[in-house]
Amino acid sequence: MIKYDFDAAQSPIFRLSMIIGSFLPSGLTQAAESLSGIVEKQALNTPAIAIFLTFVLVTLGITYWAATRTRSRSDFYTAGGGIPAWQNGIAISGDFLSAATLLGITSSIYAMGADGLVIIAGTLGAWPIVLFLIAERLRNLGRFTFIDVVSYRLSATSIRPIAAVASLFVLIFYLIAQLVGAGKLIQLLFGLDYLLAIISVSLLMVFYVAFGGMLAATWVQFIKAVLLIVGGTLMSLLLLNHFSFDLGQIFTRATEVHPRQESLVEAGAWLKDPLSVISVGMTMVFGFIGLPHILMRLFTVKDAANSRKSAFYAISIIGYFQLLIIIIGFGAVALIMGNGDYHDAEGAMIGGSNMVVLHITHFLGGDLFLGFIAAVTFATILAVVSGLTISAAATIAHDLYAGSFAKGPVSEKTEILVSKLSVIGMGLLAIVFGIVFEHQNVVFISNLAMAIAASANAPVLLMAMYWRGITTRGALAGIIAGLVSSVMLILLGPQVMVDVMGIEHAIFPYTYPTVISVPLSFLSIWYFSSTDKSLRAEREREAYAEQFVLSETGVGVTDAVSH
Amino acid sequence: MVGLMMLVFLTYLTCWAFIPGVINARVPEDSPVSIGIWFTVAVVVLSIILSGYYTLVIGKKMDRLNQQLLKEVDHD
Repeated sequence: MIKYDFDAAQSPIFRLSMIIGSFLPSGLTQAAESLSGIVEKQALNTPAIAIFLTFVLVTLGITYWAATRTRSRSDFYTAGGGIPAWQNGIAISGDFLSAATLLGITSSIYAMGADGLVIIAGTLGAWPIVLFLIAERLRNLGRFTFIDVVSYRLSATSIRPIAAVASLFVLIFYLIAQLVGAGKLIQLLFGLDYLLAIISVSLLMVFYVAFGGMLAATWVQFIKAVLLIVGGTLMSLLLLNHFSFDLGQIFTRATEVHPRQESLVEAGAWLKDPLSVISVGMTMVFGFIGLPHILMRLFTVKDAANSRKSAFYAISIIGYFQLLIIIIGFGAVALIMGNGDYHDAEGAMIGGSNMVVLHITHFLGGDLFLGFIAAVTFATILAVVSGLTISAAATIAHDLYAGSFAKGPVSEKTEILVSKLSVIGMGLLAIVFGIVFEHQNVVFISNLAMAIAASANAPVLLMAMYWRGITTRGALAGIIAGLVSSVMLILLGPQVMVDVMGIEHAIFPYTYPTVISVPLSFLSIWYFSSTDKSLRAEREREAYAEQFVLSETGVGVTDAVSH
Repeated sequence: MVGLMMLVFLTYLTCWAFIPGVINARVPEDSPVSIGIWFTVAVVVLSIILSGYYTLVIGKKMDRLNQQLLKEVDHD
């Protein structure tokens, strides 16, 4: 039995949606919002802290090792392109398999049943498209950031600042959402104070990235991903063993004990109208295509073939883990719904509804297994914010400073210095925003990050790689239209107007603006490019042939270094 | 490959959005698992299989062709 310490004086109560939602990169935030429950600071979890400290010590050792191998700009941003495909694939899967996947989707399935599965299908629908359409061309055309690719044949001085601002919006919003959620979750899992959690995560993040660059960030992500996969597999095996490896028994028991009964395995609990389903689907697909920190990982391998292999390994691991989540989600319903050890006298889940995974972990493996999974969850947050930070540093130093604002060529040494200063700046920003947003509902911020990625980044990246007719004017129009429309529609949507401002009805009825903002961005690119009759536009169209050859062959792509 | 994956994914979304009856159906009728759950599992498995086929078969063919073309260009 878990010993919960409900000390009212030290136990700030928060809406569950704020915590789960703040982690979520996608349609999950809607799912989180529909959950209810309270979260309270728990007793100090000694096994979890011991396991996590071991993780930190190991990763700090790796950072020291990585620092001795990080000398050039290429080393810092992309580990010199020397990460093996299998390791990069696992790291990419780690970037995706955040605390949201483990806690959020499981909680969604626990509360709403089958509708939570749309998120799983959306993810696995998106990743092959990244592989088929983007992975190889991106690796062949770019060096450090996806903006390299967008500006390959367009005017870099015009494109880079605007695209960098859109990217930074995505990364900073994502970082705020992760950190605020992390602070709450650490409070919940470890019994640590919010401020201490925020400061320790931010300092570790700065240390990993400033000293070890992409090599350290990749190793941190790799180790965490392996731990998460091992934990998820173990949990699923214990769960299946409990039901004599009979899946039918799990679903039969789940539909017997859940209040929704038979409809637990049916559609309609969360996504109540067709446009909501389509909107979630579009957010998943285009959002992942436009996430700068995920795209940046495709530059860390030797060549396009390895980039392709990385994406395949990532898809396989993510797919495998999502299948485990289905078992864990419905298994949790079957085993702990209505279980008095995990619910209070009123029937509410002890610690809040997002404790589903942790309760099922404790049910199956006791205190030690609970400590392991809690520590892995903390490691997950740390790894994801490190990935976001190095991507933000590359955007600031490479795209904004060296590519836009610096007058004349910038030396590698100077660019690395600006990158490291950016990392420190991101750390400070993370602490400040973490404190400022502590008591705010940050669900809309994580939605904003995903919506901007889908609307401002993905359309221009796809069109720059595949459409001969794109021009600088069209690309700028697409980025601006995607950025402005996604921000405006989120602000006018239910998550801000209803949940934050308390207004009865929102002007824009849907949580996700992508159903409007993504087509608007594509249309803007098409219209403003097609009507661009300038000489520069003509040159940009003519340069497509050269870009096409390079994107297919990778001739001249820089050699990788060996780690 | 892209077309096939998009077709499967769009079919999935269309069923979930417009014809939930298909998602909610059971085969056999007394099964505790709806078609929607199997459909989700199928999307996951198919995406892994298609990605594997693309990476291990088509991708390798393309790489060989690339190498061949580049050699010819160098030779000329």
